[in-house]
Amino acid sequence: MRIRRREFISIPVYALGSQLVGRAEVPLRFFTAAEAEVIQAASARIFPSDENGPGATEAGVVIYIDRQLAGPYGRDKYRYTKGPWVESVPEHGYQGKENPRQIYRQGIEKLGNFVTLTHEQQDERLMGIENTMFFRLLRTHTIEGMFCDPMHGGNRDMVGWKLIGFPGPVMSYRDELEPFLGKPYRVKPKSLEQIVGHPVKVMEDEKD
Amino acid sequence: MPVLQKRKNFSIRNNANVRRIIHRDARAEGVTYIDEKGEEHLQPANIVVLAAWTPQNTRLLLLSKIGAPYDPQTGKGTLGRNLTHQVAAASRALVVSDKPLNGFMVSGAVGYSFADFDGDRNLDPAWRILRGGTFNRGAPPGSLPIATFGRTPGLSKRDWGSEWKKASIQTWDRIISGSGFRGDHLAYRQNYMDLDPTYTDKYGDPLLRMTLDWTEHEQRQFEFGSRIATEVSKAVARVAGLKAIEPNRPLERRRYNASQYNTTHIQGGVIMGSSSDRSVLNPWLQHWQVPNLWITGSCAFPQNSSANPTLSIVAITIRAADAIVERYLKHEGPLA
Repeated sequence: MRIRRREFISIPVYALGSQLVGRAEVPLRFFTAAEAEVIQAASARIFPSDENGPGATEAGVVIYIDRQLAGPYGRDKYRYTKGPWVESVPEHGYQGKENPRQIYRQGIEKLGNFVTLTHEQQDERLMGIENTMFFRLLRTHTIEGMFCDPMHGGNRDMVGWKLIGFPGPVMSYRDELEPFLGKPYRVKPKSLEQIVGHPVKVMEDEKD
Repeated sequence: MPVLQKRKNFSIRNNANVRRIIHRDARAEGVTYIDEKGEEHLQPANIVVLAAWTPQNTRLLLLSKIGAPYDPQTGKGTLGRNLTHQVAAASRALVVSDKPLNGFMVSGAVGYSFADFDGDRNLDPAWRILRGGTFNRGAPPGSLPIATFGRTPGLSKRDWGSEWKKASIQTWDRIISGSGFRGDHLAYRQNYMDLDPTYTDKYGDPLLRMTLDWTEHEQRQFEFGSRIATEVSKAVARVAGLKAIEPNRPLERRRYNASQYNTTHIQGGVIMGSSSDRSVLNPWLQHWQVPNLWITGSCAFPQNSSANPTLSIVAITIRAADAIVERYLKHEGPLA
């Protein structure tokens, strides 16, 4: 990776009761600040913050994507990438040469002045690329960034899990299964680190 | 492994890749492998047991030039033939509950399975299929949000944006998972494995190539499996007083899809049988031509049954281990 000065993305920080208390400047690993702003804005149109609750911006989806692209996934460590490269049938899956990093860089370029547009104009621009590999990846990664364990950078303060009522990676529900039959079981979620009681190493931090 | 590790004569090499089985005059002499530092070693052996899963078992035998590769044109050769997968289908009806299901509480033991249509049981001739399959719903991981968020049957035009988000929050943890179908997959002459003529691994060895597609029979099995599973969903909806949403369009014909998960039950390639001209292994999982080479796993199954293969794999492996200890070691040579 090329050496450059550290760049940051600004994420809103909320206190209890969804009161905006400030902004966190999070250092970026892959995106430039300008690229991160485009991805933040685009993921916020896929999963908007609206009257139905917080969205991609509050969850820090852009941080999740930035870490994934900086790590082994971004450079296609786990995909077979030896040529020759040939056109193939859809049943063979993605056969392109571009890795996720390259797909994102090309996609961001196509989005151009995205951050300066109104929400309506942004939606229109995204509708124009809905069937591209870039958009399908961005949509998938937005859902992942909303609902991943917070150790991966997204789902900040477990906003995604609170939004839908997911309790986290609980080991067993033996005692809850019957009392909650037919009744919603909605508790304050716990992350994996909170459950196991120690920090957990994440795949995207692996160097090689 | 923890039990074996207590033994003085046991050692394990992690992150090692076997490249070849070394053999001479119908006898395996050991294997060559590359360790985690990238160094190649020769491990001599009196007995070699190959247990590397269907595709890699087949590939290692092809790379080591043990046995005759199967030729689909002539039907000659045994290594690589009878490649099968499972025929998977699912309910097409979606049932949305009126209250949250706590789906994340689901565990394997909460699943169900019924075998009323297994094999050729209760098959109406109108379906024109030889084999049916099992219907089940396991869903051990429960409602994992990343995997299950965003299904909005008829509730939003796009699969992103405000309308989709609202509908997805409503439906998440309310969709009653429909029954799944796992059908028998019969072996065909044209479905087989061989070495890829073009693509190689990091050591320069050819990759394995799978040639496999669904025939008219499997298309009918998909129709059959989807129809019965859909009837189950509709019955569940009726009992629960809910609505089942079923698409109007006919079921699409399918080609074998390597890009989507379709169980890990890839079988065949190194099949067991009663004669050496039609199979690679004898009934004891012993190689017909190389008696000190034993191969375990569902690569030995000539046909793919609808039931998941693990228990059968364990059964034939214990049987083979028993045969090695009780018979082969006392008198080395072919057991059949």
